[in-house]
Amino acid sequence: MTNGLVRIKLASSEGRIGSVQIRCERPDVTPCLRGQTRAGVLQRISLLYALCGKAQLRAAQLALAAATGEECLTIIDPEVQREAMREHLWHCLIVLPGLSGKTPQHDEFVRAAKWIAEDRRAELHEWLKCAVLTRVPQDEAFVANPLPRLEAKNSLAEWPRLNAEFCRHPTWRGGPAETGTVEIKNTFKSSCYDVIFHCARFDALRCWAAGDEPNGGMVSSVNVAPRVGRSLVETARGLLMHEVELDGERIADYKIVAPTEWNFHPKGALATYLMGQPAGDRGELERRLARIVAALDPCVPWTLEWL
Amino acid sequence: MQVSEVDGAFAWCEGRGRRERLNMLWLESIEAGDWVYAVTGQAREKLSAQQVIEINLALDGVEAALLGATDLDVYFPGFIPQK
Repeated sequence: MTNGLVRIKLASSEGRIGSVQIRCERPDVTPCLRGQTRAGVLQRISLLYALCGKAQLRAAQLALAAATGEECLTIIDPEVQREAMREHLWHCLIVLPGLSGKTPQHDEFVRAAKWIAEDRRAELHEWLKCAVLTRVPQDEAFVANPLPRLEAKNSLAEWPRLNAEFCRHPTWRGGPAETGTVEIKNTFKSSCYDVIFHCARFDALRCWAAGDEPNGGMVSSVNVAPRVGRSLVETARGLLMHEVELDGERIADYKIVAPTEWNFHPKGALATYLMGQPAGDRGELERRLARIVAALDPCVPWTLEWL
Repeated sequence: MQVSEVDGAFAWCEGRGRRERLNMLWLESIEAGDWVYAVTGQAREKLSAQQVIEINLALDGVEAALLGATDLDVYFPGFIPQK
């Protein structure tokens, strides 16, 4: 989607952040999908999503099939996984150096992205062994509440049905949670969760290049009720869920919960972290915020406004 | 957006009412006049003229839906449901 925005508004009081408002303004595409045939839904999803496009399309295909009883047990989808690996590569070689005052590794990105696209893992593996990757400062304690890895079938126990409010502000067991590479936090010893996000991306790349199965690319679907299907897809940014309800051959309702809604929940870890932070040096706070936002990785642009 | 000026790994692009400097590293080759799908400061896909028409219409459709429009088929001419 090119439309949409994550809007962060901060107000300071007595030298500290006293008010935090986080609003994810991603447009709801449901009205564009209702009443469509299955083919129409797939065509519209393809037009509207360029970022994580393969994951979105796969999620739609699986949810539609599950609505008619054709469930998909948990598997790795190689195309979705390669898409996730390229996103991780982009983050490691372009985004992170840019945020750390270093030179983005353009040539390396182009070369390695080609290896990923062509499934040339051995070459990526060799390169990663000696690649110089950017390290991030470890001066923050951004504590997230990681959403566990879920499959479609066991998601039913957590969320029997998705609704519009959940799509806007998803919660897990009554509270906000963060999704994405934070889920493998236990691999790393740092207590700084934005550092973990970044490290986890490197680790996912190394793991994939070595022929192992990293986080990312896992897909599954389940028949939720008669004519209702749900799919779960692991993207680079985290959990993507689609739920579709059919009325005959047409779409009666369609729900999408994307990682950005999880990670930029108004009461999530980012809001908690920001509240009470020293606000005397706004430049420093904004640099830290940029790193954390990059770790949470919104799929739309973000803005900061001081109230 | 349409590429107006290439500058190394970046390019100035215009479209949907804005001008933006986009990172072009996702694309193998690019030149002025090409159309690209732009997301968060990056050009993600090179588009044909036909794709540009379809995607622009689709994005207009999302905006119309946000404003309350309910008949959106005109924005997705490829798949108009049969009555």
